[in-house]
Amino acid sequence: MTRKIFIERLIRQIYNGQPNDDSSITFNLVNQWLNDAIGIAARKNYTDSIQMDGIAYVNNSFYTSYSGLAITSVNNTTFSLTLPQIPLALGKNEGIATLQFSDSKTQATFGAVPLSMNQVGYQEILRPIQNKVLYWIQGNQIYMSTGIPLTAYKASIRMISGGDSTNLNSTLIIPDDYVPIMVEYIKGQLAFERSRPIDQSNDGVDSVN
Amino acid sequence: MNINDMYQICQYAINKAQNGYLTPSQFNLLANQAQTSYQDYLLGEFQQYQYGRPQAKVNYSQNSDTRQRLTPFIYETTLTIDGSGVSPYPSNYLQTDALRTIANDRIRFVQQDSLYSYVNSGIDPVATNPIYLFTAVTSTYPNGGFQFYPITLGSAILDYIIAAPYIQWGYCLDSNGRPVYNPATGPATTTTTTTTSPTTTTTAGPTTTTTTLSNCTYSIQPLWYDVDKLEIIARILKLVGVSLQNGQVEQYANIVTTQGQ
Repeated sequence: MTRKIFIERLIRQIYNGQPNDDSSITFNLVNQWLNDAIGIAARKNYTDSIQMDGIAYVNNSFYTSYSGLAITSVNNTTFSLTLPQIPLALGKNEGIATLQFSDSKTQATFGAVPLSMNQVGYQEILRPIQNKVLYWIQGNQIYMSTGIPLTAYKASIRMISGGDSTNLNSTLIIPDDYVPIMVEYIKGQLAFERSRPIDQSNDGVDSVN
Repeated sequence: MNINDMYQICQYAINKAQNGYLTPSQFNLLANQAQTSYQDYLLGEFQQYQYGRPQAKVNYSQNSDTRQRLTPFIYETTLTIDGSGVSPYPSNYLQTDALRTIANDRIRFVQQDSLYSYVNSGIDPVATNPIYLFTAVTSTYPNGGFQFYPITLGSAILDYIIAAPYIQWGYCLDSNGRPVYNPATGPATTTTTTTTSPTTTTTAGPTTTTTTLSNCTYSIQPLWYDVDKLEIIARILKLVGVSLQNGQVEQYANIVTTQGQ
């Protein structure tokens, strides 16, 4: 299911049919709420896994691959890349599952070892481990510590994201069994918006009465 | 039902109520007033708005039935938008029905007091989500028009409702100076036009009478459906001061249509 189809489905529920050209709930607006809802669905899956299996994880179906991410140098042994979005705050770093590197000759070769944020300080007093890459997530950046000159490579990641939020025709990468959770969340937000009175008078007073 | 049927129904009702005679010029005046009143009713009268609910009991976009009544007056045109994002109203424009881009994306209506929030929206930027306002009257656009954002939109498709065109019961004067219905339709105009004098021949029994008519005016037929013409007749009679039930008008209209006056 594409984002557009998912959004149209929701809008038709909110408007009880096809919306007319006065409708204020737009595709772009719902798409913004959709990003929140994806996070809620992934979190639900995370807590479900603890409850059912006793182990915290997020199902593979939530993950999206991004490749060809450019790497820039911070200093001789530290590099960074910009993520498509801030990873979801699941566990210490569950938002990103894998980080790999490739160049024009090799595809998705060596992987990297994730660090939690409180391990980063300890890592910084160590010398880089030969032929290994350590990384940590900080906001929408990934920082990498290694002796390998990583700027010659492109990065590939697997992260929980729901797909390309900038393209409404892209596939919504969420398993069907967690779509109802997203629907309920967004419906609640949009129904709230629809239920609010509108200030129809242009009288200089911020009042709906 | 044509304009002559409408006039005859009015005459009949007025005569029956012994309310005098409705001259052609009075009928034409009242008929146009009545159709304007009826069109306003179908568009949705502001007077019927209730507190917190700006909806008239009847308005043309409520369902297909009410909309159907106005379909003879719903037009579509492609607007050319100038470099400042303005396009004047088309001729005979009365009310906007819908506006959309050439690619069939909607163009939302915005009031001036909300313009800032639409123009500055980060979620729905006007560059990809165009909007329009009713612009102020200027010397360039003395009748007003549409102001579009983005101003580079270039063109837009407008569905709109025109004001109901002028209707007229046309006639020629016979030798006694009495008006006789002239079914000839002239150019679409709101002014009375005098035509050349035709000659009509009336056959009555074994003798033939030739009558020379003069000082003719064209007839301009209403575009309304028959059911709406009855509504207009009722409004004409109301203006004259005759109150009729719709059923009575309809009944007499059928008689006129099938048997003649």
